[in-house]
Amino acid sequence: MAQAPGVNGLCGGTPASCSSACDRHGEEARGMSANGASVRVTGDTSDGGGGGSGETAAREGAPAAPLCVKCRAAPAEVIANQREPYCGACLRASLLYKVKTAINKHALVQAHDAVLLAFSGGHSSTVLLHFLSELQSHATTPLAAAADRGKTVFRLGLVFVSEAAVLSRPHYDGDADVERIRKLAAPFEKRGCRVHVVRLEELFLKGRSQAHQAAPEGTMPRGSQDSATKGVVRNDSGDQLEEGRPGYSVPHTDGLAGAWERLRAMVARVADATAQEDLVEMLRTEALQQVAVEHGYTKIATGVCASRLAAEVLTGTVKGRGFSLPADLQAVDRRRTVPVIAPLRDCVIKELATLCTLNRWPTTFVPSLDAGPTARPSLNRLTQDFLTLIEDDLPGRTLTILRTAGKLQPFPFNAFPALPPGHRARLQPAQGTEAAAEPADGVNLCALCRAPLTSAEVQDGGAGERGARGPESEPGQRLGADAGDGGNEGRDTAEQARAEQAEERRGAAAPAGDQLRENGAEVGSTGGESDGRGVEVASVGHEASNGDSRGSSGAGRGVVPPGPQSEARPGGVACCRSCREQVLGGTGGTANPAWLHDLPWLDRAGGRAAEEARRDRMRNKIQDFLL
Amino acid sequence: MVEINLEFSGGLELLFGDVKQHKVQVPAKDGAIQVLISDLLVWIRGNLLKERPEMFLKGDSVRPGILVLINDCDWELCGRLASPVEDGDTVVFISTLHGG
Repeated sequence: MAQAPGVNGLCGGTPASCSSACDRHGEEARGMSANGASVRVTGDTSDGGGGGSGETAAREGAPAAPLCVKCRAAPAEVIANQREPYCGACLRASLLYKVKTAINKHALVQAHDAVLLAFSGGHSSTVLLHFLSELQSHATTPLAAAADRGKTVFRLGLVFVSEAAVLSRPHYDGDADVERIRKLAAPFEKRGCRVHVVRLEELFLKGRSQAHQAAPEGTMPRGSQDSATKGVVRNDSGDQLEEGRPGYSVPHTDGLAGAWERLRAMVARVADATAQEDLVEMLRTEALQQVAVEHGYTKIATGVCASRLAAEVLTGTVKGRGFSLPADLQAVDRRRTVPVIAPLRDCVIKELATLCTLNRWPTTFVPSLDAGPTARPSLNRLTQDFLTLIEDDLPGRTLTILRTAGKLQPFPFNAFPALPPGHRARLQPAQGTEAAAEPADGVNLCALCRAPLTSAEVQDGGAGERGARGPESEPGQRLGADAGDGGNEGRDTAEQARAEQAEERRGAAAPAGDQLRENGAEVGSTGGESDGRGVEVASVGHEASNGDSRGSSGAGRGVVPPGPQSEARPGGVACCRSCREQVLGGTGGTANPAWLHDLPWLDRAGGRAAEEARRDRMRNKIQDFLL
Repeated sequence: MVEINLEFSGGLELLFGDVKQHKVQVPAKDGAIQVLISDLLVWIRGNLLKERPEMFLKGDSVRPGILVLINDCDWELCGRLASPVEDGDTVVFISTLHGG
């Protein structure tokens, strides 16, 4: 059997079998030292020695085992960085270094943060969980944090969102998956990491917004589950649903089961497989946001890795999201209430998966719409397979794709304030209100996928009757430090798009004010996270047919900076062109379908008040941290 | 004949009756002294794979995106399909086809 790395990545005793980069084998074991050989002595420092222990020593018929190119002492175990043989310890050190660099460079996690990790049981989120947990236990005390009410280390929690409800197999039993996830999370729970388990359909619980508002601090609204209520489904009266199919029985009670039906019905409205996956992704993002807000987390960390981002570059290109693409590829995304960070964005999946295996970190597989036995050949799935193929053909292509996309300019909301995108910064002591800063910085966002809108897209939503806005708030123009070229680009395409859409709209009938009012929007209603400014942008024209749904990064309301409210039309929300074509199936000038307002974040009933209450709670929490 | 410990993860276990770990006896090809990974794959296909072989195999080799580790060593470093497997070895197949 192979060298024993020890439990949970702890040291196996000798440098060669140490897979935790522990201090026992010298400082070099931790960092990226090119000169590690002198410390990692295994008794034979000559090159031809074949390294220390390990069954990879020359065996009959096999080529002589190469040494790790980094430490040049242990035998190589894996090909990392495209073509370099590394030993397990150096692979771990290399990945940890990438994560630490990302965290420091973008100020992803600070001492006062409460980080909610989106956990799926897969390789990426498992590595992230281990790394964040390790960083937590090794966190040094920044000077300023001493004043932080004794909290010197960031809080860590994890959440699993069960999507069993949307699998095409009806009544798929998601409880077995949840059990496995809980088992994986148990060691971390013992160390103080709070574990949350929610079902995607909880987004659709009737009166959920009110539940948000009404629930006193620290309690969970009924219907959602956390560590305390394992696997038991209760209806709104608190009665346990009858046994049958665990968790998903008895559809006629209006509680979780009703929400289950509503979720499935919404997803079923979308015919296209890709669109369904994108819609589910948006819902998942919203679920994460709600859990984070409910429990006072200041950041959401996802295990999104380089491979996944490269796939998004390709799918984004196909879906026509050129303008908004860079927004989704960065380490920081502040467009929603709780900022989302991606510490693994520079790590490829092969290395992450290998690390899990070498360190014996258990993982599990949970089927989803695009992964597993019932996965359909959606665009997303095909792209991932394609990417795997070309990466297999020539390792390194994933990172090349990301490097190419790195030329695209990020938006102001892709960095925390006081740090322009891409700025290098050391880990700062407790700064001010990063998490609560206005995420959109005045940039208009698509109601569905939160893509930044070009002026044409906003205009189209508002029938060209927007109030005059100053140049600094012109949609399509990036605000903040790096306005420059990005803004011009946006405007040029916007000009073109506007001309095209004017053509298309010529034949459209005049908007029916009554029809639009039916959609239930209020004039001058608040937007999402833009602090209540602005108005909902109306849409014009006929009822659009059902279409695909897109969205890799969740949703929010399309909000425009304040203009004279009397000029706003009631009724609709602004969507990006990609969403309008793929989600809503319409061309320029068509109205949004009514089902759009069933989406949890566009739910008018109670939504606005709940949003504001939520925001206030968030702010209070941030205040508390700072005092 | 060699006895090998097999492990499947990343979703591959679903192709093998949802069992992650298997202990198997694999014969060498006729006339050969050693058992190679290529022999192992053939054997797996014929004896262990319950469904959808195209999810695991492609031609002579594993489907792209599936990592193979022999005793914690990347098979790229051991000769890929020509890597020998000995009695008591552990061969791990990990699918990276789905996000983590």
